[in-house]
Amino acid sequence: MQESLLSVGVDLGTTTTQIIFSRIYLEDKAVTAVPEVKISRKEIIYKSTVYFTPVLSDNRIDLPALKNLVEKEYLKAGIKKNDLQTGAVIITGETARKENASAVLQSLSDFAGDFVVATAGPDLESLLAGLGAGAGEKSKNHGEAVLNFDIGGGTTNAALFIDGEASSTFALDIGGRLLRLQKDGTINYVSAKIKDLLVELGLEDKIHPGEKADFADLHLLTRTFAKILYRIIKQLTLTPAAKKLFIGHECGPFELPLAMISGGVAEYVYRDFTPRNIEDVALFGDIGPLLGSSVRDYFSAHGMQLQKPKEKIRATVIGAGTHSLCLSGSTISADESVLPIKNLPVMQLSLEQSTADIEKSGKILQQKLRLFPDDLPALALAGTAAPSYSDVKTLARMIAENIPVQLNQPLVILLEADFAKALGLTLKRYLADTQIICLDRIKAHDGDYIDIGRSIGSAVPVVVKTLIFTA
Amino acid sequence: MDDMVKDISTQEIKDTVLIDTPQNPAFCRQLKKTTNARICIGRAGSRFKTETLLKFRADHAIAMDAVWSDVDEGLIDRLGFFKVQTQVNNKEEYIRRPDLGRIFSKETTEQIKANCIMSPDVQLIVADGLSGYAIDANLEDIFGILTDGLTAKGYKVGTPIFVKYSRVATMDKISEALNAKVTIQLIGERPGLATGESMSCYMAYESSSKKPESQRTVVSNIYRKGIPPVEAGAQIIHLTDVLMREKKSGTELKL
Repeated sequence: MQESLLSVGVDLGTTTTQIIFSRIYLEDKAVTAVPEVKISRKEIIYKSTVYFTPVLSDNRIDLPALKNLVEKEYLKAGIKKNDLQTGAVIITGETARKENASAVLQSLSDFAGDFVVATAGPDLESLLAGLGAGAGEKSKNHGEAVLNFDIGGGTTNAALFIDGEASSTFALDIGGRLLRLQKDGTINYVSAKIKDLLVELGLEDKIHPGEKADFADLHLLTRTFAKILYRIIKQLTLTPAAKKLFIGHECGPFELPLAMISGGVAEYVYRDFTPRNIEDVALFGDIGPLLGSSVRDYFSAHGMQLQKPKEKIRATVIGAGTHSLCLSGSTISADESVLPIKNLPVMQLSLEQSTADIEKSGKILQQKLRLFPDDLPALALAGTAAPSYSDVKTLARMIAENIPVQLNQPLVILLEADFAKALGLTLKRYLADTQIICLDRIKAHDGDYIDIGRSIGSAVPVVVKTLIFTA
Repeated sequence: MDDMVKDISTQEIKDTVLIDTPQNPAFCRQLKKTTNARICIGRAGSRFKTETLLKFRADHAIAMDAVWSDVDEGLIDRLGFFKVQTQVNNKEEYIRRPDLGRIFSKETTEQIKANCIMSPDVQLIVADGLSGYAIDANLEDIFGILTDGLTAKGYKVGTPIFVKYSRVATMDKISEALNAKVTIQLIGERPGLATGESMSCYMAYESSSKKPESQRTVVSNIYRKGIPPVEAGAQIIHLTDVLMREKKSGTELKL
């Protein structure tokens, strides 16, 4: 068996909008009668031009212009909506916080294709950007932790990878377009997010809209941004205003990793260009180029080498297009008639090893299910070892006794360990009339949402995502 | 417990980095996860360290022990198997004479016919093969899900048979004697270094000694670190459905 999926990635960022198409090849590597479907190769087949994100004068996203742009790129790539099997539209940075963001995202993901997921949220963005930049791969191949900062227009998204897996993600209000200016230095816009930092730097009177910016002041600001990133990676203390730049949550402790930068600003980190005056700075009407050169200079002055990313401005869109999808195990139990399933919330249940504990978890299951009065969420069972047959039976009975069958919804179970076919088969004996989707080798957590596609060979494609506008 | 010698065979070689002063011990462990080869073990001069050498010999001993081990017949009796033996008389002969491990005496064949359900849809056989440990480790879980699952699907399930000193081909003889549709044989795999617990499953539709080896559909590597026995059981039930529907098996079957 060799099959492939056509995938689209759309990144709707603070500054730019990009589209890529990629082909994901799948292969059944089975040597015996047990299938083993794996992703064998990913190939990017089309990269769009980098567009400025169309924004209306009242600061909302210009949906018609956006649709027009997407349509034009599909046409140029020669790809029809129906050709696509998977993909992700990700709305990132400040764009995600615009008033009509949710509506735009939904409308665009439907417009882009049937099984194209809509995603947002700074943590997921950080993860996808890090994967697209190649930080995950680098950490796996070189045996050292890699921290990737994806510095965009509105936000900086950080992801720390250890042995190919993201161990933590966080985001900051640091970006090239938080301050916009004209060629002559007149400031058009200053994001409210950096107000405290400007006060701390004593720049609050000098940097605000209408004012002519002084090169030295802008340089102090971008150098401060660079210093904050450097101090985060070195785990040094931050000033109160710097701490306020974290979005949602701060970063946890970690050992000194290698540093990598991606995102639009990275184009100026890894380029030998140093703005010398206001005109140089205002190349794109923002402080992006100056921020890029400040990061490069600050890190090198402090003796920290920056790793080269595989992708810079395109890291997030490539991450969205090629890394959002994973495959289930190949021995599973899936009632094809209910697929695909979109946007199903996940409820996690830790799977204890002993029979007594499984029975106890029935109570916990019922309590947690009360949080989902109308929908039956996907049950994610953690634990890496497959249980004995008698425990599989106990588990199946516990689930059958505690789920609200009266909702008449398909039962979706996600296992980390390899026993989905066994559990699915056993469950069917207790729940003959319920449609069951039981998948393994999938890790999902409380608060995640999942999409499950139609089967490919004997596996199914799964997208695990942290939802839309939680921040 | 301090005066006890530690059992070196229980230690996982994969978790131990024996290089004296590794520059990046975490990466060594990460590398070791990618292969079963004995890497990052350090050295003493141009040779193995004592610990590496002992571990190697202990792992080799596991393989040797597995070959010479007998299946726990208490387990076989508890699960209600009908027990028979090939024309082999002891382990030494089993190793030396593979041909005798494939056939039954006339009396044994008659006993099978007299004591087991005739013309079953599914005939289950357990054979010791080259590792008794493999059967001890996996049989209970896989037998449970197989019998429950096959019965629930409405198949006529035959009397389970245990064959001592058995090679794979005994399944053909039993299938012929009982006129079975699908025959499933679970057999202890030839052990490798440190792995004596791995079991295989051979399946065939109208299994027959007149057909070539390619009549058999195989699921291998069944044990806790390979395909877990419960999951293998569920896959075998699925394959039984396919064999019954297609009325063929092995390479003739497009899976």
